Amino acid sequence: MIWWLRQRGALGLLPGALLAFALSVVLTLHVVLVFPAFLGDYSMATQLSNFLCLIPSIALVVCLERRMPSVERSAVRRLDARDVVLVTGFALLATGVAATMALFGPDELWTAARNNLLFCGFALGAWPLLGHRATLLPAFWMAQAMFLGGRARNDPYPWVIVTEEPGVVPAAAGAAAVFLAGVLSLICSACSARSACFLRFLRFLRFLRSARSACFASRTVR
Amino acid sequence: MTLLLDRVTFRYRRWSRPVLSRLSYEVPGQGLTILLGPNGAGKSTTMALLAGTVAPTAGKVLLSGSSLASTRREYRRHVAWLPQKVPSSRQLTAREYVAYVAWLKGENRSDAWERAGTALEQVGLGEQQGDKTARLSGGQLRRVGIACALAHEARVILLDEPTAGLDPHQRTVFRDVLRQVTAKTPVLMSTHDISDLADEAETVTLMDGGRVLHHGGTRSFLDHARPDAAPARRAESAYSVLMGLDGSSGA
Repeated sequence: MIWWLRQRGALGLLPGALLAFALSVVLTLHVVLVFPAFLGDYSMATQLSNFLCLIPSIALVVCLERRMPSVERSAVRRLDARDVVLVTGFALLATGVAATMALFGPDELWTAARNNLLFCGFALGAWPLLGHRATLLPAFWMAQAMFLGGRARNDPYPWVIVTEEPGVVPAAAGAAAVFLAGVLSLICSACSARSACFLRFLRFLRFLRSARSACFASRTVR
Repeated sequence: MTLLLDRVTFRYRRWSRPVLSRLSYEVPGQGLTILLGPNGAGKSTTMALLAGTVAPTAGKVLLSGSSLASTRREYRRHVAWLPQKVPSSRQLTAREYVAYVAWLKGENRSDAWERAGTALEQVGLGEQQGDKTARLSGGQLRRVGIACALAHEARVILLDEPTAGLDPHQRTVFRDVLRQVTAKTPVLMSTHDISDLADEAETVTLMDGGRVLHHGGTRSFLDHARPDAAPARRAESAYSVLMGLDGSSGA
């Protein structure tokens, strides 16, 4: 177990990323960046801390990229479930740390917690498809939110989420939904890696399809 | 212990041409067997099927009569696989790496640690136990891969082109290690390099286009060589004759 944790960076990379996230968010709380708008007449202003929420999502992808598939695929002990628990736990821990700080500090820390959840969801969802490039998706989302996401000054479109105010419930719900979708995507990819299980599922689907077409054919004959 | 493919068909995609079509093949139960063939012959696919890392589209993979699907855990415990490219790790030392693989294969932590040390000694890497695997040379990394197989007491070892990319000295060292290992455990080694057909191989299997063209002792393989072939080039000659590369009709 300890070797698996070390290989994934759970003793170095992830705690370091968590510390860097917490410290940098606190230290840059009131630093505001202004971006030009490509759509609409208003430039977008946002806090630098919103960008620092990318740190945990990048750490998650680096952690998942440390898998050694050619060695681990032929193993007796399967690591897929452990990996899902590790990265999901880390994302929730980072969110929890930001939320806890928000209880004792300014409300902007709630935004950091929410955005961290959103970015981790994007990274986890994209990783099975994009591999190490999965870090690009949250970064892309942040960039497009800056350049395309504002319909007026301090009035982002609802789907942007990242630049919404801390207390906006739909934004929090959206971030949670993206995170859940990301975790589900990761679980599905882990299931498909267990090829025998996946093949059985495919055979079951094929059986259902053939049963349905047989049923349809018998009705047509009648 | 017998390891065999029973009328196995394998496709990488559902509608693609099968790489292997109703292939039956039994891994010999002792010594070193060389799985020979050109690039694209289906060697790596055969190895991956035998290692249980991919599932056949049709047919069965059997270990001592039990199918892989029904005894997956036992199967993976007893069959060791050295992939074409052994991944290195910046986080783990050579000993930790071997112990990690042994742990993955079902050993408990203390046993895995003890066996990792012994296995590394066996492959001549006792002094590099504390080095990070990312710092080892290609040849040393292959030997770490062999140590992984030894650490969990595999009953069959599968080596997928282990000598590819090694310099002549590393090849010699690797063969010495292999000679020791094959004395105790049957080894199936795939290669497309005819020079790997050294004196130590007991059985030769020649594959091309997903079919077995020849399976038998090294001597029977070399008997296919042209009578006028020089002694040092008999393996190449036999390969050319069986593949039909010398103008003959082939196997």
